[in-house]
Amino acid sequence: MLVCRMANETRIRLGFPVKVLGAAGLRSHDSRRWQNQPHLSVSLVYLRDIFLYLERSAIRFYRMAGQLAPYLTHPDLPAFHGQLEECSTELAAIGDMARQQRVRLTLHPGFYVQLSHPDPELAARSSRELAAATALLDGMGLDAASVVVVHVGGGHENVPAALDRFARTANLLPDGVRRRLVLENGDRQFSLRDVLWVHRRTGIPVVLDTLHHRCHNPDAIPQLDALKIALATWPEDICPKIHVSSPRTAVRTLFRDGEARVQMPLAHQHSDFLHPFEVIDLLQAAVSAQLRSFDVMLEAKGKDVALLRLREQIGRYAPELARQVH
Amino acid sequence: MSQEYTDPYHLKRTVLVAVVNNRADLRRAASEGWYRIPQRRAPRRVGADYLAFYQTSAFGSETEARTISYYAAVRRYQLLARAELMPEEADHARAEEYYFRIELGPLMRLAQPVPATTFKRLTFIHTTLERLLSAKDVKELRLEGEPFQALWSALRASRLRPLPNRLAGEWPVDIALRVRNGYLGIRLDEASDMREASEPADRWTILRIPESQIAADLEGCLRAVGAALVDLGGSLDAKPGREIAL
Repeated sequence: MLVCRMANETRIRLGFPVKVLGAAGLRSHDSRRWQNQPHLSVSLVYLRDIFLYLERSAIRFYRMAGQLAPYLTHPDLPAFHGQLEECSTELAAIGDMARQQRVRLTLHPGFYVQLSHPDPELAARSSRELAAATALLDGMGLDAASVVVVHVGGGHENVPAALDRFARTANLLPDGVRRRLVLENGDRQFSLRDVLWVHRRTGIPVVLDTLHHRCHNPDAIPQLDALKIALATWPEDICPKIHVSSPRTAVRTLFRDGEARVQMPLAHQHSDFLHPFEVIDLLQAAVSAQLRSFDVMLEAKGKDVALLRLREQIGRYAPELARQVH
Repeated sequence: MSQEYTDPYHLKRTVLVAVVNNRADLRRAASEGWYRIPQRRAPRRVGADYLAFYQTSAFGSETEARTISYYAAVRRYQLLARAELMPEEADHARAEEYYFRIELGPLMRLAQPVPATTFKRLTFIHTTLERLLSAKDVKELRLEGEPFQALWSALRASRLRPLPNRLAGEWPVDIALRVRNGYLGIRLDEASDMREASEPADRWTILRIPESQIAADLEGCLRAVGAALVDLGGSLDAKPGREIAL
């Protein structure tokens, strides 16, 4: 089982999501439209090529594309529903490769997965999406560290009711699906306290998103305390993960109707690279507090390039921390 | 770490050029719509939108010999044991080895076949459809910023026989060279140390070459490989002819 080292010192593993920018031409999944018959088998070969890149870059934490198996659950396209069975050998092989390279793999389905949706049909569809994601991870033979990250969903003008619907729907999920589920705090609603409420009723661990927490922290919980609280929601035998990103600070030029407009940066937007000193401060605080080991998914637009850059900056500006960050 | 990166989105439609050295494989691709690549000898990038075929001199006096004349769209991949792939050869020595079975669309002929006028020995080439359709020689297909390909071709040009993607115990290596009593494994990464003993596997010595160094000083990298080979008693697979430059 992929478990972080727990004893004595905090170990932190860095990862990145989906797209590879540091090696031209590596694709995250088969993105062809249904008319061109995309297939999971193609995505898995792309993934195999990415794994070879991860190994060369010594990256051991990666978020796979949510659409790895294209149209797998689309209700109008049944021809795509059998992809997991059609690719059982290839899934097992790519899972073997991940284990051999000791890469932790996770999934983060899109925002359309909303267990809290008031429409029972849409909530049920979300449950089917999560079951499919679980089947994919199971097909790869991945252990419990390969989690599926979800958001609560929409508040629909009644946050407590949405939380309640989420908890009730999550508790109705098959055990195998619920065990892989982890819940992220939101940047406009569903604060850390809200997702902890869900955790207490479902046992679903909490993924702290540090930027979301900075954007929406009505209880004024200091960041290190928030980190301690979130890590404590994870089972002892599974390495917790958090999301870290920096807010965009540069202006963006948008072109509309042939006219250029300058847009001010928004705090919840991800920047291209990480603010090295803020990340170093956070990780150093965690190490000083002797928190349990955890993994950090870096949500920067620069993807793997941002990770490699941050790793280099940690080495330069905090060499004592670099020994504990991988 | 490099301060500059190639635009990762410039490779829109990618092509994997495979080497075909027998008529049966090409005929199968044309009539049955599939091609195979052994998993253990597969290139670093198998995923591509198209597969193109470089036909070796085994095609004799045919006009397609030593050219890329055909290509096809990739539809799917399967991982199958050789015995499943070719049940009529179930007794083959490699019957249990796994192969990528690449399902293809109809074979298309290039309006302008791409000859290999200078390259005598080719391996897999990863390129773009745009280049394939406009190239006048195979050497134009190689993409800039492909250090693996550059080193691989240079080793081949030095009359060595590199092997791709091997495992040195638990260590994947990009290129392996057979030496006396073992292997020299070459890892292309940005680690600072250039040479280290291979702890995980017996009979392996690992040489690390940063990718950036291949782009900056290919000759220097070849000298490092040559020095390592000399240290290890010489390459077992060196062909007679021009020696590796030291």
